[in-house]
Amino acid sequence: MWNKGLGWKIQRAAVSAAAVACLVPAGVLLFGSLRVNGRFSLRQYEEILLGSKEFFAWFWNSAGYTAGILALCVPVAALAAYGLSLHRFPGRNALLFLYTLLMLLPFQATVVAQYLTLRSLGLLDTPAAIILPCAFGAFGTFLLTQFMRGLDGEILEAARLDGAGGGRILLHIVCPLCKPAILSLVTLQAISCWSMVDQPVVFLRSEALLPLSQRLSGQTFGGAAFAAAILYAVVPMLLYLCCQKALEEGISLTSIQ
Amino acid sequence: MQAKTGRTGLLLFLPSLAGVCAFYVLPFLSSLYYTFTQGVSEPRFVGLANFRDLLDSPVFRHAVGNTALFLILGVPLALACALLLSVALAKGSFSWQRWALLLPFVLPASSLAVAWQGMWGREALSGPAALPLTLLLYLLRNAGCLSVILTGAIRALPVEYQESCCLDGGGEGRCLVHVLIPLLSPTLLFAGIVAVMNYFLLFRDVYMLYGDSPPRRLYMLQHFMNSSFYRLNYQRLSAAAFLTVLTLSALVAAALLLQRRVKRHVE
Repeated sequence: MWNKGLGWKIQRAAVSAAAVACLVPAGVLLFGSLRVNGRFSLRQYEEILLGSKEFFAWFWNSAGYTAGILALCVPVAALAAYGLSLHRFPGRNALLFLYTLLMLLPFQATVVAQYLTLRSLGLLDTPAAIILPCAFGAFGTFLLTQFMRGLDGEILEAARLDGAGGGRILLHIVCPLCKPAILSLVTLQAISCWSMVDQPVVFLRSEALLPLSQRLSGQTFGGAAFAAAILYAVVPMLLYLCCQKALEEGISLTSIQ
Repeated sequence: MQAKTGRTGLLLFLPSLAGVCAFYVLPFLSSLYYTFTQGVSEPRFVGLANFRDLLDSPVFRHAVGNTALFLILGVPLALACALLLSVALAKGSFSWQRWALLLPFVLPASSLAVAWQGMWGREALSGPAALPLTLLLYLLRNAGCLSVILTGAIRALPVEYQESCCLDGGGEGRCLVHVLIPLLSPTLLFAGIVAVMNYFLLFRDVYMLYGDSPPRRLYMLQHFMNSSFYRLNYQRLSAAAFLTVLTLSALVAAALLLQRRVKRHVE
């Protein structure tokens, strides 16, 4: 049928062309990182890996923030999503709308709010200023709720009739069923945290606390910026290589049906 | 039994709700207080004066105009590209192509900014091509992500629709316009919301490329808000944030309602 026609060949070519265009930025980075003064050289990597203390300090800051956010966000979101999707209580739909809206808001719309809370808690210019607001962001709860709504309620009802308590149902039935969604959440959240720019600009003052995502530029690393950019991008790219399916499923899950 | 599970549900929800209230909802409500006051040491009540000042401010108008322009150009373009890609993607496996299409979505903003500068050079990026190049960056970052959503939706459609399309002898273009787009409209609507949200995320890329002072056409709403924040002008910032939240809530509520209606119509 249509799969064999000329139209199909054109479509295949167009998709491949778009895919190649998407590879260009990463290709430019890789190519640029292997050249110094127009010649092939590994000097940029040498400069970053052996010569730059700052690179590692900022790199580990990024890693720490990402890990901290994930460690808090996943359990909080799993609990909330379980409560929201498999129980009925008044105001449930309003809460779901609130979370959807919060997820869509740009950071700057809530910056004053976050700033006020962090200031009154004395957390400005500490790692907690980056971790806490992100960890309590609405996205995780939203994503897992979307997934759990599709779960079969009968299994849970059966477990309840067998005398399993709420905690056991959550740990032994819901969590294993939700593994793919949790993996999706981890992947999406990690990629987004790794790219964090707006929050550190506003909430951090000390250079020593900044994540690399905010410092990585030509001004900071001069001629070695390409190698620094590659080394920084390796983490999300590896994650993507391992979890492509989880990432795609996570993106599809955000679609409200 | 019913009442008990209800209470458990709310209890489980509490940690998340507490965090959301502490960092987003309550301080936002208290910052609303700023929007009706002026003066730093002795705030006094001024009613809607801040909103009037804000709407009169040429910088704010410029930022809103740029944001609207970018959304009007970028969102339909991104949706169209994603839709065309998905029509093909849904029919084959395209393994490396699918991997490549999502790569720009995965790259950190800072790394992408270094690549982007390497590709076009500093001069081109700050010249008259700044807006088209940023639109291209937006497409590159989002077409893959949106096409994942749309490909999933196309694959979920019943097979009969595609078959009826083929049997009618209509070309693929007609099939797209008369069958696929109406059937996909709820998903397209949602993909539109995602595209708007991702426009706001594009600020990270623009910030990494240009810092606090981008070319005129790229001065976004967020630049305005950031500069109000740096100048400790919380009143102006809170008023701008309030208007943004109001606009986006209306947009999301309208989209969700419309989606429900369209879905009923399609079914």
